[in-house]
Amino acid sequence: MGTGLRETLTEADLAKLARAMDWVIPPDSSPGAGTEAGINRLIELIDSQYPGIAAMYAANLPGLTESDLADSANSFAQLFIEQVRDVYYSFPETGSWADIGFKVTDP
Amino acid sequence: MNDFDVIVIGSGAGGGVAAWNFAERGNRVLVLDRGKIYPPGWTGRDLLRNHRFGVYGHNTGPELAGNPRVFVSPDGRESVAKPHEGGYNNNAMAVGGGTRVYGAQAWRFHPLDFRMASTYGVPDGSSLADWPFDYEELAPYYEAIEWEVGVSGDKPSRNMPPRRDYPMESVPATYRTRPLQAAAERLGWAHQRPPMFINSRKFGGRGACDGRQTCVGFGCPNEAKAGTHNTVLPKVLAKPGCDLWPETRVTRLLTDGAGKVTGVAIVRDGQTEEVRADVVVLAAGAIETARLLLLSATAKEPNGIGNNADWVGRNLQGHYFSGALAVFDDLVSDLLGPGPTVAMTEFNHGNPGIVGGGMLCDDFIELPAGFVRGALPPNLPAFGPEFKAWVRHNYLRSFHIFGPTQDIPSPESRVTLDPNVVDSLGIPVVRLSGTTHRETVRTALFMRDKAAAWLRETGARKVWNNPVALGMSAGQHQAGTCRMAGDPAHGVVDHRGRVFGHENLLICDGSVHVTNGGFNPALTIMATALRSASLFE
Repeated sequence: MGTGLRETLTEADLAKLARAMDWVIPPDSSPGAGTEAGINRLIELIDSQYPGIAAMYAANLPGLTESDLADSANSFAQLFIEQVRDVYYSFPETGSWADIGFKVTDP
Repeated sequence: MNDFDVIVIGSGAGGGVAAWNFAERGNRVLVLDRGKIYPPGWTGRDLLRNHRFGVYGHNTGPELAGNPRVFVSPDGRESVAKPHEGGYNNNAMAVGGGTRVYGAQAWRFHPLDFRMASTYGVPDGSSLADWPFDYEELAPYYEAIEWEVGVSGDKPSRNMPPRRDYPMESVPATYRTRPLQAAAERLGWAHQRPPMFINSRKFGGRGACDGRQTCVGFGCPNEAKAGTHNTVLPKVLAKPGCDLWPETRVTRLLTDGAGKVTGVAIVRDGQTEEVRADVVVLAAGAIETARLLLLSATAKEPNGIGNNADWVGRNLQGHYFSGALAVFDDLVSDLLGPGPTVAMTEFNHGNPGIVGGGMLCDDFIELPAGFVRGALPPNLPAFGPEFKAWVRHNYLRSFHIFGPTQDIPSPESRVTLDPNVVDSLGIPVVRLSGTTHRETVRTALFMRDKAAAWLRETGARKVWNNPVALGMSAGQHQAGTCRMAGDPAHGVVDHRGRVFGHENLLICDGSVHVTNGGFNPALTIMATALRSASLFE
């Protein structure tokens, strides 16, 4: 189902996406934010959605600015915020679980 | 001789229990389920794709592709929904059904839940009615399930009926248990520990809960959470002549020339087959059970089996979950599951000007992503340092009180067959339309205010809530589409769960609920299924 977002973005776009984990969730004392593992999770998530999402990222990510993120009428920016937050707070490799005290008690 | 004595369609709360009863009485029972078998200890732990946080998918069936439903929103907009999308109103499709991933609260309904119309009258536009039997009739079946499947809990609150003690004491208290109890006592509100199908000690050959965090929406890693898959279904399979076929789709009920049900048509391993039995039990959930009846029209019943009075698919109910969220100065979450530890039963009935009411309880452990999506106070930035700092500080200082509000049925909230959209087998899919009755919303708002008051009394620094709006209510608590009634003019099945005009066709799931109570319905589904199966000679 996926369209391979990693293949459709330029190196510069991928770098921007990588920074986004720290950009939407700004750099601070959190471990792991913006790591390659987190970015891989984000791309995996986007690619697992219907193809239109990956195309939307490819079209809109290069031009996305911080002021766009504050614009509640910017549908891509709002989607972007939600997806970055969802990924950040759903996987231990992004560092968020250690950050907030959540630890899955599985072996 | 038929292939089996009894075919049970669906292995969840109702189907599993019905199959167990028929098997225990020496019948050759075949259980069919369209879902997969997930092995013991399976958790489905993808925190982005599960039945608690389903924005991107679920962790059980049905597959996202090829299984759509059509959803018509209250303002009339049609959409084709995938299984994880809100309009789909999904319940887990797996062997064990919803019990594989449910939160496992094991409530009896209140006696007045069975007599809603007599107690409150029938609101305009509602199809509110009494059940054809009362609480006392169901009480022994409740007790049988509590001891067979295994419920942990404490004494009932002062406004709940007395009963035999459960086989297990409550799961351990958490940081917030005592403060919530103390606040309830100051307010003078009836409360108790919530009953749960979760072992607080070894029971039924399964171990005790050890406080893992992902209960509702997931499987239990040590199977302390009881479902049909680890209680009654193994007993069915231990009986000679009984079997369970997973990943098997039932496409229609088979009938003879006189319209009598004789078996089912299925698709299994890509092959179409017919299986015959003396008795067929429908237990596919309120949406798919109605769909199968509608798909199985005959010359005698051209609008679907059991549907000559046009009740099949109507009165679709679930539960509005209304409540409030709060943040405290002190730690209120120790991240030890399952999470719910104090339940308020003060407002299930007897609320002036309100039809019914509901139960309130502290919530399961909030998944981090669910917390940042749905549990943040108003006016907090959506991203940035302030957002992140708030989450970091308050994740363990915040929790949610909410609970199921009595859903007031509407005949226009319904399941029909869509005329245009088909599934991967080319079979018409379900079309879901209508909303709950407006009285449900009024009750939900009332319960929301009570939740907020309880949180304030508990010492919350800030309390807020999510909006309540008119909409369809179904999902994991789906019910009502084949309601029980005293005669065929007013429902689909009789008080024994038999489809009117079909002595050998039973419905043993939430479809038969006339009303869905102000509590989680799993125990009532099981008890009613046990009663219906037991009464079948």
